[in-house]
Amino acid sequence: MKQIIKNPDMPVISNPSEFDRSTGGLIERLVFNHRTLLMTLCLFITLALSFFAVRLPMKVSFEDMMPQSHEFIRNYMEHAGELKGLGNSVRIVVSNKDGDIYDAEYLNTLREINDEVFLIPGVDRSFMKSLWMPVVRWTEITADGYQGGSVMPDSFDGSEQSIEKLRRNIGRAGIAGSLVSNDHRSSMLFVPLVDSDPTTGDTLDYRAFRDQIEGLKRFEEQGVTIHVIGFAQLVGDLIRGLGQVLNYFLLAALITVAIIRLYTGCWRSTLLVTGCSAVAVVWQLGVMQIAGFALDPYSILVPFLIFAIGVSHGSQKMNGVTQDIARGTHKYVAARYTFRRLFLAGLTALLANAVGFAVLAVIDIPVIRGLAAAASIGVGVLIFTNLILLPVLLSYTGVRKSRNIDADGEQKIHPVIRWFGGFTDRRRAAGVLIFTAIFTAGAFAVSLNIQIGDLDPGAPELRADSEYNRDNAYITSHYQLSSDQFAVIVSTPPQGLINYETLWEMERLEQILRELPGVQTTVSAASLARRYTSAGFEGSLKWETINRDPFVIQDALNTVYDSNPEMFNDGRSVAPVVAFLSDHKAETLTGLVEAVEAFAAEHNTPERQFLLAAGSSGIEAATNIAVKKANVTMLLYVYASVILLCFITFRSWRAVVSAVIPLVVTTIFCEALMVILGIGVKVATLPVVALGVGIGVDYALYLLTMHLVFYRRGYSVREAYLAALGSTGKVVALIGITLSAAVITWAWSPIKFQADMGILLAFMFLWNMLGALIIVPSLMTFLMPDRKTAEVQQPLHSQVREEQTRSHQPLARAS
Amino acid sequence: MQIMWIRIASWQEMTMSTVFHRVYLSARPKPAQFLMLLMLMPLSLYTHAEFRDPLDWPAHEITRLAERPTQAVAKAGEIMVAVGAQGLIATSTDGNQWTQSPSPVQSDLLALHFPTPEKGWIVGHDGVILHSKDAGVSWEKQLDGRLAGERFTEHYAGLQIEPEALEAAQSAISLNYAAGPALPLLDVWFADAERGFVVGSFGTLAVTSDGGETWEPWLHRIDNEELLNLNAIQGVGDAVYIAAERGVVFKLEPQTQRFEKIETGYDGSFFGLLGVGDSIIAYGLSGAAYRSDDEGLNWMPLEGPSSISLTAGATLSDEGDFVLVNARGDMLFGNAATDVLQLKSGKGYARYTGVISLDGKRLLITSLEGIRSEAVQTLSVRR
Repeated sequence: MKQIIKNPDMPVISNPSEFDRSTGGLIERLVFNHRTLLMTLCLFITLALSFFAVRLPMKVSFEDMMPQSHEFIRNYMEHAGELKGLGNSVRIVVSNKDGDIYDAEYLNTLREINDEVFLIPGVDRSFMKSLWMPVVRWTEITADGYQGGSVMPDSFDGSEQSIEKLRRNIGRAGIAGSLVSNDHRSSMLFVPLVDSDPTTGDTLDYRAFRDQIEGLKRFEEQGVTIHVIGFAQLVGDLIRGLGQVLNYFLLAALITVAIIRLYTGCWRSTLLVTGCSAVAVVWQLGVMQIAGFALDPYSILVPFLIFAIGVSHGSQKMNGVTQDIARGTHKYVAARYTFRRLFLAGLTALLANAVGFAVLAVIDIPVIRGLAAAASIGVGVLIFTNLILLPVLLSYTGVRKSRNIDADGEQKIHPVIRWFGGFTDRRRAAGVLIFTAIFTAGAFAVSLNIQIGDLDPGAPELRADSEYNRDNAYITSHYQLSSDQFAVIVSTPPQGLINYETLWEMERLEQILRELPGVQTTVSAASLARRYTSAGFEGSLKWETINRDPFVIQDALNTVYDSNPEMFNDGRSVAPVVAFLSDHKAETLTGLVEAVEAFAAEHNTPERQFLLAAGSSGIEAATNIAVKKANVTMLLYVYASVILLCFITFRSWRAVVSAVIPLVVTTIFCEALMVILGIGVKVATLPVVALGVGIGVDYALYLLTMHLVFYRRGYSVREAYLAALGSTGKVVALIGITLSAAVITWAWSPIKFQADMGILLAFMFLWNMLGALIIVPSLMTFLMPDRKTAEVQQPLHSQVREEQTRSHQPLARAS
Repeated sequence: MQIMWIRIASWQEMTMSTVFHRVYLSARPKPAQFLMLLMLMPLSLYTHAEFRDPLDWPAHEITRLAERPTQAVAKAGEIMVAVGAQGLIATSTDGNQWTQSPSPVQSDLLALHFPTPEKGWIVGHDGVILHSKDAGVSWEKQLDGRLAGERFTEHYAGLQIEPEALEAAQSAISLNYAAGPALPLLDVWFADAERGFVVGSFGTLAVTSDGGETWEPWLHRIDNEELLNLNAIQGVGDAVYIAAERGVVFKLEPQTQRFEKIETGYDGSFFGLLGVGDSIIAYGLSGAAYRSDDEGLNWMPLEGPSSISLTAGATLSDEGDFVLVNARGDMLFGNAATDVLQLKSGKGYARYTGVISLDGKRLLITSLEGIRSEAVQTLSVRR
């Protein structure tokens, strides 16, 4: 910036040999005086990194979506090994197309499916349940104690009698609603998974697992329908969705190329700008691989962003070079001038981006940290590819002469620019500000209704009409026990569950949970033990109780363990109290968390702890809490860093205010939009604001930098603004449109959260652009009004005078 | 600092960790506040919740009463009162809408009897006896297993009876209450508002003559050397009968004021007794039902179509019609004049625990799966 102020007239030099190579800053000399070396280096790096980039793995993990340091998650991690039924699992429902499950052909198909699933690697075989698993037992309390056996008769031969026996056993086992549907037309295979193979130590390959589950669909030819839900299936669907995302990447790239081409009318510069951005993506992916990161459904969106941001900065460079060349400057000199003018603004903007993304790392959810790292790496890479490599390339190639420049090299003031310049008119500016204030206040009122967490039933990652969510809806409507499980972990010393007090407390907790809205029913070792106590008392129903005698309790728990081994661990020290929920809305989960915390405060002892949380909904509750907290923290950090960087760049708090207020307005509008679209604050939407603000500040940085340059030279607000519009401003508009057009393609992603992110980011990019072009000048009109001499620095005095004499045609000197 | 005080006003109810947690997270305390927090910590060490016994804690208020496990239902005049798990007491005027009555205990409640429309008694696990004077709206505890252990021991210490019988009763009391209030009272029956009986496991038997103000152990007034479980007690006509283990029925002899043992010829447990006109039906384990038409002297088995334990019964008419229910959700209809029971399945699996006739046409049934109603079926075959 210093240079431009000291040398306001970068002279038009058409012959590069006349150019003094020792001018310009250190970096400029370093870069442009060793062009060949730099080019070779970049080529070499690009080749090397593309080698690594193709090896970047794709990964989705159950645990990476949890807020790792949250108390609930730590409790869960500590006890995960002991909580068999609540970990990662899939439920496969096989329904008979014509008839109920008491059908020899159906049962035979079910057996084939069962045997195949049993052998899939990653299945925790000892806890798998289905009609064909001997572990699924019926028990009946009789005069002599209790008797029981496998639900599937040992002698099953498909005959009428054995089917009749099965029907009776299902009734006695009480599994209608859990393993058998309410209407007895389908039955379920409950398949728990081990995250890593105990013998080989390999982690579960979700893609392979899903492929094998998908292979089961061939049984549908045998008259059954198969529905599958569970995290592994979801991940499989997500990974498949990611494949489609690549198409959107191509589409976005094509849109970008088309828009830039339309604007410049020059293929050379269009391809250079997009090419350099593509190189940035390659570098980013390569560096990620070297740094040990993987692509997940969140970080896969980063290359889009990097590409788009790259195009944004690249266009600014290209525009600068175009303007210089249009005036007759040689392409080499033009590139150097552009570099000189815009390197610092570009650097600040990219650093603002990088900081904005890095701030996301305060959110302690691995997928978000991955996103933060990927985006920061990408933006860092852009400094080299688009701020350095691109101008150097432009110095070789040059651009086609712009049509917007007339014969004598002077740029006309475009009517649109003139119209935008009107926002420096005090009355119009005041109108804009009042209008903005009113709308912002309204949006703020709406945004207060913003919800935390997921609002829709089923898997919120996917669309409501996706196959997965249709399967989920089918299972929810045909089975009593929902897959939204909220579990409280009861932790005691070894054998501590064999205790009257512990079991009573567990039942008390169940009683409280059952009363909460959204809770369908509850289950725990205690309520099951109650049932089996009567076995020791001739099956008398009056003995369905929890007895004070430890021997009675031990007997009852042993019986529970026979039929429900997932209800406590071998050491009798860890047991879940599970609530089955009718939805996973944040409100429901908050109610549960509060109730359990109050209960724990009152009932926990050093030996008996009621800990939150496990089960899909327990983890979701933790995530919601973490997200809610992070939402505020993140906004504070993002704005703090943006304000700091703006201040370093502008050295004027008035300019900082002008740059930041439009961002705040957009942030508020974005939250209001989320309320209107029914999108909650969740892991996926959390990064949107940070990304939106981080990238949005670019516009103001480019625009205000130029504005301040002219303003400090003594131009009026209107003149300075028009000049800024003419140089960097129109590119701001171009970029706002390009970025929005690129990210809006995500809206068609089969993955719901990517679609949400796409819509919100497109909105933020577009709105930030409008804010920069409309609200910024309006604010500047009042914050930095025309004061022809007051703020101008002393050494510039003579120049200002000179400028003023020519101010009837300020744009001639604008760039 | 003021805010701090409000936040920790209820510190007694918090554990140390939650005090620390809340104060730390919400207030981000300054050093002075930390100091105060440290001062509070030793205090909060003593605030760890001790286990509160179900006998010392009123039942939780719950909704969806009719879905909870219930053990018995009885009429207090026109009002129906049902009892069940975790201190559940519910009243209803129509059998559909149930209102919870506050219970002073969380113990599982098992049986109840209203000798008058207003006065009633409930018994249950932990040896509780609850009493209501207002048709089941409010209840107070008259006795529990802890008090009974002390009082019965005291009672026998001052009692002048035959040494052998005294020793037997005293050893039974010390055995039964050794593990605290671990044994349930299984049934209650009052002759009138003053005189009533409670029975329970391992021969537990107690009598009151003052409406439950004092309870006198009667272990020495029953021929029960083996301490058989006394499962049910019922007045039929002028006599009082107890249904017990091993096919034994005890009958109160008015002259001697002793329960005398009657062998019925059955060797399983009887879970209940039902007076139908002048006949008595005893029913229980494995679907067994026996009838006596001569005040308990002779018993004959009824032909039962099922081997599922019978758990409760009710008379349906003055013509000797009755119903028994079992632990699988079946109703067995019978008549005092026939030896045959006719089975009718209910609305799906449920473990029935209690039954009353609403108007001779509908039955109100309690079960461990909740309260439901069923239609009365008239017996097709009558003698």
